[in-house]
Amino acid sequence: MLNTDPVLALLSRALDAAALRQSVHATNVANVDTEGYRRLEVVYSAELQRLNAQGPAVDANEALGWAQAEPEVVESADAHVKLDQEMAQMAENAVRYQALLGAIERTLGMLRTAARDGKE
Amino acid sequence: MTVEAIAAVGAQLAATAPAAVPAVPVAPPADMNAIASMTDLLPSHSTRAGEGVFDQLVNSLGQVDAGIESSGRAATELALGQTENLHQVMIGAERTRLQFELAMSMRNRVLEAYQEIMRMQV
Amino acid sequence: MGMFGVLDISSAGMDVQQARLEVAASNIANSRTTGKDGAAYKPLAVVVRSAIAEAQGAAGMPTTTANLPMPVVAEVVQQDVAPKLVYDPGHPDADEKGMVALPGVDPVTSMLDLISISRGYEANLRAFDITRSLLQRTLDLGRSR
Repeated sequence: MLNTDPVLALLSRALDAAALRQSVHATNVANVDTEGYRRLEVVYSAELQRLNAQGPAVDANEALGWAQAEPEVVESADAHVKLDQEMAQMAENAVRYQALLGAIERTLGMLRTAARDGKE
Repeated sequence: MTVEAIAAVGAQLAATAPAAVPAVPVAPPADMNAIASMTDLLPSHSTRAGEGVFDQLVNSLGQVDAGIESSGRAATELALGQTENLHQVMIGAERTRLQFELAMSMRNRVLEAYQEIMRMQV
Repeated sequence: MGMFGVLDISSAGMDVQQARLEVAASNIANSRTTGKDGAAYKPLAVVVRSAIAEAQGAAGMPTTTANLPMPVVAEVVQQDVAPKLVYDPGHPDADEKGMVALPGVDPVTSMLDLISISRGYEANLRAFDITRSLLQRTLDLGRSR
């Protein structure tokens, strides 16, 4: 049940992407003065699919189907690292990361409560 | 014992001791005033006529289920990066968790009450 | 490597800015250092490279945090900037025409360098802090309740 819960799996995969994003932002910042360096970014297939899909919120199972591929690091179109933009994007990603952590915590918490039969 | 028999016992309890167990009305977290509507998680002392304690429990479980489903949809949107209002998602998730724990707590107390009754010497 | 390794990358980034700072300080301190016969101070510059940056053109794209490019100070070079010639026949380093060669260090460039270094260092520091904070929050998953 814990292995097959689609919402938990989707949240976990999104967290992978957010963690990779944090690493890539930090790498871009560290390499701002590196000769010949081209800016990197993370591409996450489920997010792209969602942007292309129209209509209201999708089923977690369907979304999980989109998220089968691992998040990827690619060179961004704009090769130049702009520190202010990079830091702003990093801050935004950090908030998303914590939101995803919170959602996972709550989902696990409910399962834990159910497993303990409602007692502490 | 079947569910109907248990419900019948509950109905008898409700008849003999009105408002002994407060009803917990919970609305699904789909509405916009998430913070304001948290107050409706508090118990109100109205036991509807003819409704047993177990019926109320079953009702509230149905609402918890709806809450979990809606919270799952919000989590999916968060995972896909489509969340417009982060606070709505978080408040909704917290609501669902509280509903769930309240329902579990209620279910435990009702079970304890039932066990008490079954232990009584007739 | 995961996010723990990324702390090393931010740390390397700070080292790079530190090196740039040392070189900039040297340039500013030596902005009036003369020398005889072309031995005047030449401004220095830092060359930063990273192993994977060189391979970026090729198919070696990093896909995981295991091989993200880490910046390293490859070398410190003397910049071939023409010296400023100033007429001062009484100066010990004046040549036969009475001209003294001063280092071609442009003070404006030096100040801009300092600002850039300061921003770069601070950005790396904040990145380090954010990564550390996210790691701590992740470790707390499932701890309470």
